[in-house]
Amino acid sequence: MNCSEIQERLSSYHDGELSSDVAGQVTAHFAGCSTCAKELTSFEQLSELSCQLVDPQVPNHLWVELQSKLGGSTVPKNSLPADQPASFATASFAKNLPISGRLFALAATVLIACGIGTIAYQAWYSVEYEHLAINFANYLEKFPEQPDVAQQLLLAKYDGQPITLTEATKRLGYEPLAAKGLPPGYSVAEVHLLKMPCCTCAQILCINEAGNTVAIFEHVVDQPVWFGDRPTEDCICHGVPTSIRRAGGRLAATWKEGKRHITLIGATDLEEVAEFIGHFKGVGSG
Amino acid sequence: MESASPRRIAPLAASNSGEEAVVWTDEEAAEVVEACKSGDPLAQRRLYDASQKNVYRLVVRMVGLQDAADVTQQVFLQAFRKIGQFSGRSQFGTWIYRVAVNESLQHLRKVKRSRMQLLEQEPMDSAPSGHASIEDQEVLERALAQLEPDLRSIFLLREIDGLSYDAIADVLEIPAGTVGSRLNRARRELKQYLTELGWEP
Repeated sequence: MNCSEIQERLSSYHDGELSSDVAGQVTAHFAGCSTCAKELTSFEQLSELSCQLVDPQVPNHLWVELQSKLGGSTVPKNSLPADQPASFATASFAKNLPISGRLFALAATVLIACGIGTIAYQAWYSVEYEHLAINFANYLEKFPEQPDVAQQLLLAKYDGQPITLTEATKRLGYEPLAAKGLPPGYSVAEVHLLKMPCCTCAQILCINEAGNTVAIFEHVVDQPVWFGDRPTEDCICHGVPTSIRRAGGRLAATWKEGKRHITLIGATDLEEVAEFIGHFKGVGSG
Repeated sequence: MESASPRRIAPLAASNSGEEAVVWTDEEAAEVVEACKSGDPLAQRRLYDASQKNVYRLVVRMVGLQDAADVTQQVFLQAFRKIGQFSGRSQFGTWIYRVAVNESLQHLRKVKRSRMQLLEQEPMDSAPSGHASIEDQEVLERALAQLEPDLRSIFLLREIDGLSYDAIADVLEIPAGTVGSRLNRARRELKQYLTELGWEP
């Protein structure tokens, strides 16, 4: 192969996309051609440089806005009268039709009803997410000063049921991390299951020896929506990627342990966050 | 016979710096895609979670940080609206890349910007330190911004997202045989821009 043919295949060679036979010929060429070898080296340097690029952080508000647009796109405003479903109007119209027409109208009514059902479900889901963001913002602000009040509000919104850790394991299909022990000096005060729009999650209230309360949420779906547009600091703690937000004068931290997401609310400082992350590290992977 | 190792990222994976990638099996992906076709919001959320980082990373470097959030939203809106057209012949991860590239190119045409604004990389506490030089990253971002959008997309799909030539051809809807030659061009032009910016390996 001459230089021109080699140059043409340089990326394919560099990216391992050539057959071993052709790649062998290209390799042989480099031994006697410093120009082509130099060009290959420059491709390798570009790849090394590209590996250094840092992934940009996806904005937390993106899903909330997207969800809103998805809902908005399928539910035109004022598409239904407030006190009268569209299917009701169709049924009235059917009264004056012959039998075949009535059957057609009946089928149309069923189809419309199904459509409305789907649209209504999507709209409900979108609204639920918006409410979730608002409810959680209130919870985050109230929790440090009035954890009991904040708890009652959240439990009331999401059908919070008191439960034992053993029962929670059965209901969730996985054992909450707290069941395997809390960091030294902490004890479990209450355990609840919360029916969130995304999933049912376990909430464990913990009290330390100083009487401070923190809440641990365990959930299978990441929940950036809980924190709305709060500024997020991303860091690595005990080797675990962790997102930290300020909330009501305290810290809220989210990280992943095994297949579940953990959210810690009410931490006094980064030291306390690190204590929980370190304590739970590796516990949830089993 | 790879002479360099680009960071390989599964097409449908939650892959951020240091984060464990969650890769679905074909059956899981097919199940979620089917649920999305019927408008299941939970399935939409799962698809979003699995592909948001890949999409956003690509879009940021295609259109710039300033417009990236809007374009990423548009990518997912289009994806969910058109998911009925997803045949399943390719992986969903490949398909969403195609939507992302097309939306990015369309956005660039719309704003009549052949060159994206210089990327203002947000400070990231999780940025790897030590071997990764901030100056090198900035220079590369600037050089990438000068590259033609078509060449930029193919370079990013290969070097940042680690797609194979077949997958790149699928994403960009071009013959697989032309991927290598386009990458040659992208790399040579990028190298030239880097040199002009004073980069020395």
